[in-house]
Amino acid sequence: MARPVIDCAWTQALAEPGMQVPAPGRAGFRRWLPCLAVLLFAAIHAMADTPVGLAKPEKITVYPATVVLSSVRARVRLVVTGYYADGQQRDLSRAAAYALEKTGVARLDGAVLLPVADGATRLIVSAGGLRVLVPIEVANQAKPDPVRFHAEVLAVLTRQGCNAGSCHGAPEGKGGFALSMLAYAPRIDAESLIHGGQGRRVEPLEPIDSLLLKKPLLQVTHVGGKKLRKTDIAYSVLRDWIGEGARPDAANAATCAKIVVYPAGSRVLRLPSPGQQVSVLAHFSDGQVRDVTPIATFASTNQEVATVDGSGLVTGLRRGLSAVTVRYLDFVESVYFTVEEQVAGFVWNNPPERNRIDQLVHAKLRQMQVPPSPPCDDATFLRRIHLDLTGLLPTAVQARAFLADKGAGKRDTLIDTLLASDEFARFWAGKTADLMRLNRETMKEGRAELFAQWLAKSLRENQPFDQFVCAMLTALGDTRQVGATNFLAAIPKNEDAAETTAQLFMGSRINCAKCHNHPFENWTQDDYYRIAAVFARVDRANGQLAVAPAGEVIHPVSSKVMAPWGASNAVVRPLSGVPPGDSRRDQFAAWLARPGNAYFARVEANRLWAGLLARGIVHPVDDFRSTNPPSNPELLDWLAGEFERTGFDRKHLIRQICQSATYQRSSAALPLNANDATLFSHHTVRRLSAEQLQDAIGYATRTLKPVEESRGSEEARRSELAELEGKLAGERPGWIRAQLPEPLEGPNETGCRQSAWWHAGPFPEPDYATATRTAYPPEKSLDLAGPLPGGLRWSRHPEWVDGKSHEFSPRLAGAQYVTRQIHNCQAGKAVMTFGSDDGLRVWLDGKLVIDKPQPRGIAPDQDKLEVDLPVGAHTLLVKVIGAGGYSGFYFRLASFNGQPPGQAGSLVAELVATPPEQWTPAQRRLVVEAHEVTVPRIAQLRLELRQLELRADYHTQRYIPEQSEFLQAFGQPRRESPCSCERTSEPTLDQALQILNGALVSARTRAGGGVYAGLPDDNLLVEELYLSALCRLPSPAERGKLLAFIRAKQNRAEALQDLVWAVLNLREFLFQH
Amino acid sequence: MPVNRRNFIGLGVAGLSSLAIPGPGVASGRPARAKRVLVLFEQGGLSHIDTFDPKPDMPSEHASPFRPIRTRVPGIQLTSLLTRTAEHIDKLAIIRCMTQPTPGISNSHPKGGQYVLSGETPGGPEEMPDIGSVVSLRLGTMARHLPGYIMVPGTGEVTNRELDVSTVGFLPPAHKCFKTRGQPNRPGWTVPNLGLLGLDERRFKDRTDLLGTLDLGIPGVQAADTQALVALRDQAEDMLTNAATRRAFDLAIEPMGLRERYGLGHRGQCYLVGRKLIESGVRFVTLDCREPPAGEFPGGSNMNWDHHDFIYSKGSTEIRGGGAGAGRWGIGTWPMMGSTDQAFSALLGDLHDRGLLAETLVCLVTEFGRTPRINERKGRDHWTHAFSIAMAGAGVPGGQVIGSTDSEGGYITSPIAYTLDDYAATVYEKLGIDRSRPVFTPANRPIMLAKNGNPIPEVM
Repeated sequence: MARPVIDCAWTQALAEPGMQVPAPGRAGFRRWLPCLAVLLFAAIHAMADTPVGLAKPEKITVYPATVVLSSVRARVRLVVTGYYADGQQRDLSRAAAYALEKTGVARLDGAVLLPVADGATRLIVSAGGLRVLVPIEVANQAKPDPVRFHAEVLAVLTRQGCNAGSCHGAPEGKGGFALSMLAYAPRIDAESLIHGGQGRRVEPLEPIDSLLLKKPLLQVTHVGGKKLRKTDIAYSVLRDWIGEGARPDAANAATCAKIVVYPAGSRVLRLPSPGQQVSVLAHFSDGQVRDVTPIATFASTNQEVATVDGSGLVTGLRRGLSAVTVRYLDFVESVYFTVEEQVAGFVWNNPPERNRIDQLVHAKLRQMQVPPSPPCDDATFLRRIHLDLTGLLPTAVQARAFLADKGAGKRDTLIDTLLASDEFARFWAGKTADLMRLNRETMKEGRAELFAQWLAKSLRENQPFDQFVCAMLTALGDTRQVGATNFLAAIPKNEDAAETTAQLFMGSRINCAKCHNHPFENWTQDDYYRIAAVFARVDRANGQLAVAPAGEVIHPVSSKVMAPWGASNAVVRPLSGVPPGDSRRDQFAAWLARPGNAYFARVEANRLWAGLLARGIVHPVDDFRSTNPPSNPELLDWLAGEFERTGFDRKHLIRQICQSATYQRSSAALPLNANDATLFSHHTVRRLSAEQLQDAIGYATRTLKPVEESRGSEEARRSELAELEGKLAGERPGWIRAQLPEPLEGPNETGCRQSAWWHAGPFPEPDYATATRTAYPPEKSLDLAGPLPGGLRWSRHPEWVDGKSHEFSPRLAGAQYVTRQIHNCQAGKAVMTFGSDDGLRVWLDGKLVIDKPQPRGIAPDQDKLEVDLPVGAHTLLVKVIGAGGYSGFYFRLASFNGQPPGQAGSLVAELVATPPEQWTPAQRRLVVEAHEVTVPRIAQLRLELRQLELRADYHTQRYIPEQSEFLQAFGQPRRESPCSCERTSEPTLDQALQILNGALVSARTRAGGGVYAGLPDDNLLVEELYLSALCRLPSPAERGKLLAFIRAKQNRAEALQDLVWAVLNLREFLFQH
Repeated sequence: MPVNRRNFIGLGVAGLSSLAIPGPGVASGRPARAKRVLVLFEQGGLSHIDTFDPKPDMPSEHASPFRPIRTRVPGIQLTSLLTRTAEHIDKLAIIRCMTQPTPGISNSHPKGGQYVLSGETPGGPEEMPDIGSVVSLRLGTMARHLPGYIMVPGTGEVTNRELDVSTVGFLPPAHKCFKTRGQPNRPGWTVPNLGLLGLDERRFKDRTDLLGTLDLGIPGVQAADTQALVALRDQAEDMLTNAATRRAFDLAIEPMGLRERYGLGHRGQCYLVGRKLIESGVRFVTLDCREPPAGEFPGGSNMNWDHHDFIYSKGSTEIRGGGAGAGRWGIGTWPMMGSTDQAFSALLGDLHDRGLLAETLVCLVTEFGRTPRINERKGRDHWTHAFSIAMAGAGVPGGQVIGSTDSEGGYITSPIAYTLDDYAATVYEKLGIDRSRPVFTPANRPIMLAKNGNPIPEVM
């Protein structure tokens, strides 16, 4: 077994004082002479190679610091790094000179060490006048080392691109030859390579006749073209593997446990730069470490900034940031390269910094030599901040006031005002709702509104973001009552719930890993199904979000039951009396929101940033992965840290961003920052979103009244309602007293009323006889308000009307109880009929009157009961014993004294026998409702408030978006996926047609012309128009053109329409800048 | 400027007009035989044994009352419902061995419709865009004053929202299907957004002149989106005012004799609009033009080919005890096969006369066929084992029948069978689109075109 050689190897080398070789001329030099003759020359040569103007390094390191060559095919590439006084690190691998102390043990091929024979020696590396010794050990040279299938053959197939998704890695393969994408399924690949294609893919007796070689070499036709050269290392790997018999790996073959990439993390290349060699070492489960640099796969995410070749040599091209990604089998690591370059004419003028954000943005701008644009003017800021925080334009009145305000803190004040507004909460909740499938098709029966209201409330009250997310992930309850339940209730499949959760809150698009390992990231199929397992016990039946007693996720390939992803330690719910939660979801939420989770605070901080700066620091915002680096990692780290530090305070973070000089910069570019799109040197211009645009058209044409007016009417009605409710509450005891005697004394048309049914169950019991025999608590005492064992409660079911079968849920074997009161004001004969599935027992006023415990299927009128009822309240208790599967009951009060019975479910009849202090909260609510019905104004106010609260006329404020051709043309999402990409912002022809000539613009233009015609003079008119649409006054030149246009037209009404139309079509109007 | 997806789209927008010459989307291997494609999507599942696949030897209780007729090509028969079409048999390849193997699609018109439009079974990990959208992306437009992918009129979803199955999927919205809407046979028919709304051209010009002097952009801003918008605005202005745009939709300028040849009803005039758009250089045109609900055809609330009930009714298919098949008229009536036979034959003749057929691929397609047996409601239900489609133009060898079914039209008897994936692959390759080059989703996932299909060799 080989010695591990890797971690922090160079520090070890430096830590050993003996490793530093004495400089030439010192004592002991002679001993080195035999092998140093060549070295000396090489070192001098290397010095000449060092870039001009660069000082000598303060130290050099060699990676790896010790080398073990433990197989005949082992090879190790050395990376030499120089450390300079100014903090730079440069790759000196190609400039360094290498020599071996002893010949016959190892040999050198450039900076690559190869074995010769078992033994030990040392390598002398010199660069920049410094020297490092690297111990070398060579072993196992007499032993064969056959090519390994997974670790080498599949690695080179990945490297050559053979198993890419667009080639043989496609699900259906290509040309009849299929491989698993990026080798996620080695066994299937072995089968396909060794036995597939009628066995012609590999010819062990004559390897070079194998189709696996001939096709990519283009010796025979290959649709994919030439993919292999005989000089490629892949060629020899494949040829040797075939020649050795083309065998799959033995069952106990060592597997790769991790890879270590050098340099780790990040590196700066200052141009002109010699580039940077990357080294990849694979650690195997048997303890061996192999240099897999030549068979790993390299890619650069930004090839204009840096390129990487097949040997892992990175070359910087121009200033910028690029991630270099290393893939070896299932392992993906990235190294972030920042390329610096001197830019002619760049001067840093120390622009003002408002807060930490600016310091961090400036640091990056300065490093990249990109100057920031100056601050924007007040009008631009006003329009920008209103649109960003509320979605709406300011009114002309607000614009005039803000522009006239000479106060120094007016921008901060405005930010605070807008953050506190209802409009902020609604607009930002809409952004979240876009990603949560919040539409009326998915969330029916008022659930969409309920959920939208909950989202807005969370923002209005600035609920800490971790609590907000956990509330959704761990929600339980009725989806028509608990808003947060609808997030999960809307996603019927566990896999979708996993994908949605990962994309929304972890910024990760894991969906690729459903079928194969993620092509750009280290999410594996196992990870995917572990996250899916978090949701395996979500029970979405009957409009409830509950915990299913069982449920697992099975890995589709390995068929293993997946352990749910989450915190390993159990989480105890803090509230007592709350039914136990879904421990899988609870633990996942605990893991997710735990401080320091790299997948949480950073993701939301980045989303908030992108919502304001038009672009994420990681972009797109839901695509966090090592191959998609943040454009300013320090900035993102700080934002995430600040978010965590303040208890996930969303408004705080938004305020910090809006106050920053970075946010308040002009969108006008400077010559030296015009090409920057990622470092926030100037504000990004973007088209108004579909909803912003429609509202802005309403505001600019003055055909949509300012939202403040709606809010005003809402507040007036709210206070009137509160007053009425308060008054009624005071009158309630008297009202109740007045109600209660009525059914007892005054006869009604039939003399008999029924309360609604109340239900409790199931009392689960698989054994039918036991369930029949056992007297559960309802048989002992009927307390509708009290608790029952097993977390059961009595629930009221006014919808269970007479003459129909009613099913119990969930479908569990055991006993179910329903009860109701029959209240008659005169004595008489009642005829009742029953049905049940399965057995039935009925008590009237505590006396068993029907006893049919035998299992049966349900039918109407299976049993009939005729009784004489004295005046008063009577209690009917029905027990249904279910044997499993469907269980339900049927009841009909057929007649009372030969007359059809009165309406079921009368509240008063139900409550009459119960003293008010024993009413349940549900019953109390019913009483209040019944009382309030007596004042029609209350219902009217509630209706109006509901209309106002919906803000249906304001598309940025509505709870549920309107679907219209206009909004869809401008990219309104259909809310069917959690992807922020569902909202599109690309300009399209359809948009141009809509804005030039669409029905909405035409109508608003006509109406708006009429509104502006009402203004007394044209000067004021053009000012108001510009203030309403653009938040600024027209320039003298614009004023002149506008007035001249009005004067030149004979028809003033038409002229004004044309004017309004032109303003709506201005780019300054259509874009936020 | 780094080339990312956004910029790529920006280039696409700016370069719309310059893409008339097939760009890099075209395969080096197979030359393009079609410049344009006209798809006649007859939605609902057209009964193959009543039209393209006659079965003279069926037992009479289940036989079609429409008897086989001879065509000019010996051995090829159609039913009497295609009497006029039969005159163009020399141009037509009738594919009788279409089949739809995927379970779950057979009973769903929305999914079946999506399958026809996208060429791929719906329900995969990525929603596949319409073939027309992919063509628009790959080949660009030849007529800058018109949208690149148009559906006439595309009003199916007006009666049934579920039938809004056209999708641009993951492609940029610029390649979305443009639906004309409305009823072209009605006087005064206009295409929304392509005619000036309540304005004359002089006033529109006044407005755009004013806008030209006022719109100086955003000071100091050269953002690609603002520039793209101006380019698109120019194009939109052109569409709104270019006489060629209006002419492309203006049926009044067509000779009355020709209009009558197509049939003056809804379907005939839709087919004529299809021809006009092809002639105007639109790359991809789809007709989805069942007769709209009208007093003229009582009971015809949903006039597609979904003849579950009373398929041979002389009028409405509404029958006592019927259900799923209500809302149509019998297959032999005028608004159904009568108008279809007339419009299809007129179209083939007209395209041929104008020399357009050589470079236009015409495909009459449907989702599936109908049962060989007549059900108890005198209708025919969905049948996916075998159905027929027809192709013409763009080098499709005419006068041939491809594949065969058994004596009842129930199962394919020929050694060959094709799917809608093969149909899609045929369309792509006829256009010279290199299917070995994928299109990419925004997340950079490569998506192959008609990946489960191969071009139908008999028509290539």
